[in-house]
Amino acid sequence: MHKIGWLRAPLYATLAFLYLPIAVLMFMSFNASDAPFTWTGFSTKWYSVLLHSPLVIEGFKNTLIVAVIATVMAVILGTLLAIGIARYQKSSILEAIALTPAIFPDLALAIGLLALFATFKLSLGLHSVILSHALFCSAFVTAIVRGRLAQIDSSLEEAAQDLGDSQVGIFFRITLPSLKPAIIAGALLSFTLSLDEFVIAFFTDGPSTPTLPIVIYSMVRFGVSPEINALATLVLLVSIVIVIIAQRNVKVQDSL
Amino acid sequence: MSSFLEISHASKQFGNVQALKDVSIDIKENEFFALLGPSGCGKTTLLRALAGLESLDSGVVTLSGSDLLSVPANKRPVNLMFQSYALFPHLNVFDNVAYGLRREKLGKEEVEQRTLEVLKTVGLSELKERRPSALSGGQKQRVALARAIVKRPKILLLDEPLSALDKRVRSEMQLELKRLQHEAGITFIIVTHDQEEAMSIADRIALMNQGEVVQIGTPIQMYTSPKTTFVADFIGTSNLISGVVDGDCLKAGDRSIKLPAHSLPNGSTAVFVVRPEDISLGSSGELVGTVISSNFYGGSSVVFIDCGLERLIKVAVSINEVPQVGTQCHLRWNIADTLVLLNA
Repeated sequence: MHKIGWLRAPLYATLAFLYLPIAVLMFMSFNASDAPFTWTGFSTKWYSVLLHSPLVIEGFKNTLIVAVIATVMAVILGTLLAIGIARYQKSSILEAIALTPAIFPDLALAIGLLALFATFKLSLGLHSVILSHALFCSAFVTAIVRGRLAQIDSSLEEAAQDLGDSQVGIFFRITLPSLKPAIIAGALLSFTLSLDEFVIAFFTDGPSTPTLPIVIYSMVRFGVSPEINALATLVLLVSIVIVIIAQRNVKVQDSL
Repeated sequence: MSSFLEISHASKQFGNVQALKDVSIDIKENEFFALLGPSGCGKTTLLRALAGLESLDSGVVTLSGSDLLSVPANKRPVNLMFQSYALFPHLNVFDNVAYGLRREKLGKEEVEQRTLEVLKTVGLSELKERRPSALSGGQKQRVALARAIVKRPKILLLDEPLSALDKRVRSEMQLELKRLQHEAGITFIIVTHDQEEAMSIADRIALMNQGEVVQIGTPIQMYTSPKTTFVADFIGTSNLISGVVDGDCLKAGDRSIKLPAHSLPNGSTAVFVVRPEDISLGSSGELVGTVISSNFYGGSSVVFIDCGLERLIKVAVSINEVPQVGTQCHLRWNIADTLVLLNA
């Protein structure tokens, strides 16, 4: 191993490239100065400013509501869609259509959704963001669950049927449990995607219920203040926790 | 005995492929029956149709006189052991085996008692807490078997149950399957492409080819009186010499072989069949040839002899009688042990 020691150099360079900005951000969030990027001393004051900002709290609450409900909807829709495509309707066109929202440019999707809501005279607010995020995230859930379905032995369901189980029983006792890791992974991905999604939310949200990314955007428009660093650090922590949960879940399933 | 499972005129088409062509088989109660044939011969389709996982295009299947095909798969007194075993990965061994019993809405105690009993029969009591991923191939096979027999089906269907096991475990499991079948008193229908396995395990065999049943019989009948050249070639090892009938002889190239009594017309193409173990080597005989090579199989050897025919002639000899490669040998047999079949 000693001989290829020099290979560590690109590794460290890559890691630095990826994580240095984040490290600087986290470091500066504890900066006492009013200027965002000039260090004057350690302080947690920006975190308390943040926690006492009604706009930020409101935005965070809105974002959580959107992320939770949209995730639930996306998981249900995406899972059923994946099962339908894989088991009952082996159509590659349908499969492509189901996965399109995942690769579609966000901007086009956002404008399209706005046009749709306007056409149906649907008011804009958290409900329209929830619907939009559910649509956008369900494509990711479909992709993940579909991948898992391709791996599991379809004779499991036949075996359950042979052993006397009903179609409904098979779905809940065999199909869903064997898809569990994919469903959890899809849910976590949906949650994190929705959490920091800006473009679609910006277009489909109403003026009185901004989500956190919209709040951040409106704050940044008047210059980057140090509290943004603190806010970004908190959002980052949430994402890291979710990634850890996701990885643990995958590991448990791999050992099955 | 009246027939137990009666399959009549079963047909099934997949696109352009005729998977089953007018298949009729009667299977007796408590019989160990094998559906044998090369891959793609329709044997698995038939098995799946019996389990209710595949529908037939036409045909009737009755079990003890009542229609089986109208019964949905989850209500049939028939269980299938899958080739892939299809063990539920998220359930442990006990829950896998108990799955079918729980669906019958039996009491908790009965489920537990019957499950433990079956696990004991297959020798897996110690492993009941394990997940399938922590089991060896042979153990998985036993779980699959236990799961299928715990419901006490009238018929147990086994789809290539031993194909995933290595040779040593396979012969052990063959014995065990036979013992289980005997103990449980269940009709077993096994699908296999391995003629040796079918011969050693089954009471009767149906040999299938391209969706059709070619011959049904006991292993000995199949071996000693094959109806077609396909059967003679598929079951056991044979020497097939094709040629043209000329009176009581067969002209094969420039050789002429004396045929057993037959009613084939002169000039028809036919195949002469003689088993390797029915041939002896000596100083005079029907054919002359040169020894090309010999393969050792434990108890005996098979010697390959070039007699100037299309194929080399295989002769089984005991190990201390193997001739040197390159020597000339005369091949002799008793004409009563040979067969002549019309070449279809």
